[in-house]
Amino acid sequence: MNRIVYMSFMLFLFLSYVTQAQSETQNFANAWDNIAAEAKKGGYQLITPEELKNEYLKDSTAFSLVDVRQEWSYQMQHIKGALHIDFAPTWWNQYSPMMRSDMKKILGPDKDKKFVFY
Amino acid sequence: MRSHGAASLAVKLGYKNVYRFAQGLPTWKEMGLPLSTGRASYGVAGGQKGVSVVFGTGLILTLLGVFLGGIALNLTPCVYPLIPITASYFGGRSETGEREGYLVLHGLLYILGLSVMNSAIGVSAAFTGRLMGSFLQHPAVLIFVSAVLFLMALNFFGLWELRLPSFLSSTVSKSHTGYAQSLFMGFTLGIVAAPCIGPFIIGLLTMVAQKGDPLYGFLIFFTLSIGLGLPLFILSIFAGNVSKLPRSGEWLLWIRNLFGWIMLAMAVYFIKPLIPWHDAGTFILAFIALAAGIHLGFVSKTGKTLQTFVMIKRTAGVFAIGLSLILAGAVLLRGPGVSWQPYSQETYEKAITAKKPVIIDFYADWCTPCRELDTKTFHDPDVVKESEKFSMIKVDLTKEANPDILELLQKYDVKGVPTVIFLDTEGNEIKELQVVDYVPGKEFLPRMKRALGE
Repeated sequence: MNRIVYMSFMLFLFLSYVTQAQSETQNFANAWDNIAAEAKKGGYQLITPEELKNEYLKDSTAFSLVDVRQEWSYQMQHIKGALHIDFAPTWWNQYSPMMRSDMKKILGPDKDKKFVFY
Repeated sequence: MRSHGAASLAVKLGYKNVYRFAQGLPTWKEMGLPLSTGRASYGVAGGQKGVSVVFGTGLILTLLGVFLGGIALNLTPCVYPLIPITASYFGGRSETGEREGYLVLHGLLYILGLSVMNSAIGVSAAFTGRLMGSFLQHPAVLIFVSAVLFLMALNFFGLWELRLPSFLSSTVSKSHTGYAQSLFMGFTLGIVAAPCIGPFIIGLLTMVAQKGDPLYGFLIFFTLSIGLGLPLFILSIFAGNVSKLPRSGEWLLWIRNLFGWIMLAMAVYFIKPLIPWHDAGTFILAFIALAAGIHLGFVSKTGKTLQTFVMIKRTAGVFAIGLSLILAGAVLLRGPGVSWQPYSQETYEKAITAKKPVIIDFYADWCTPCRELDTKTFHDPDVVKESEKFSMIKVDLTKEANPDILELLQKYDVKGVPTVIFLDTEGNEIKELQVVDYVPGKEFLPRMKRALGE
């Protein structure tokens, strides 16, 4: 059963790659100044490199870093101690129940814990 | 925008302390902070390993998705060389008077050969971590493909016939050797089909590599190749039916010669990257077009009795000669091009630190729009003149990318070729100027001016 769930998840991932390629060509003009607007829309906060550096050097276990790039990028190199979830930027992944449960599994039950996505 | 999507999903799931580190890994590295490599200690994708091939609804759904993806791959430029070769092979094969079913069998064998070879390359790419396209760039492979096409061209010109040794020909009829030939042709073309990369294939490679099961990987790539080959199969049936056209006997020989010339041109096309002087290949192609035009239009004695056919011959001849003039003329009348620096760690760092804006062109020989950018846009006199104010770097992805280049691809989020990116004098990318397809010089120039702040 678990395999079937996994397989269908992979299928959705493939289909989303196709749509992803299209939406990303349209979005490539997204510059750094749009990031603030995105953050506001997404309801999360931004962290500057300096802040992150200070917090990381103070206590890297006080919060969780989450790497959402492709698996192969993560394997090649990632921030030491970062968790990984391959999150293709498609509208589907915002609503996919599979993605939601995976995300919950990885982030854990503590809703107040600090998470930094990159 | 991966981190944006993931962060907002986390917010939706009720996590209250969500941050996004938008500068990401490159900035982290610049600050000299700790990094590590290897698999996720725990994660979603790496969760299930050591599973052998499973049969079930899940697998069928996956394969269906892969199949559709294969069909979609036909819209990418990597398939273009397969089209004339397939049409020529099936249009020029000498077997006449075959029943419909046999042609379908030939087409199926052809696609089978293509899929088997393509899957073998895909699986080995997944297990060795090499790029799919890199295989095609090995000189020995290019020479092999080119030689096969060349021999096939000679066959179409009637210079040799496929014959079996006599002790075999008594047991195996001629049409059976024809089947082997179709299969072999498919194998060869499977090599040519391999450089189709892109986000879809990269996803597949990752998945197959994680599974660690060659049989499963083969199944995935085989399904993909069948999807890739389906339009080619339909094309092969159409091309093979050329001999069933009315009064085809009169001009079938001419058609074979025509396809012979196309095969010859494709043989040169594949050997082109090996010729050190890049324009030489174009001149050879121009010469082939000229010879083909004269031969097909004015020398060939076939079908003299048919008035309309003579007209078609002349038109085709003039067309080929015109094509040759265009090919040669485009090179001869072209001014000097942009002078690129090939990418290396040093040239890149020097360009970033120099107080000049930078243009980086991610390029590969097998990519049609890349070649077009090169021969047209980067030979536009205005573009060439303006390019002197930039540091111009060319990253050749024709061959296997080394770790440096992979890092660069990641840093600038390069999804495929061509990609041309602009960096300002501080070395920061100006995202909105990025080019991901062919653009003519007059559209490229304003981007250069903006990068210069004019």
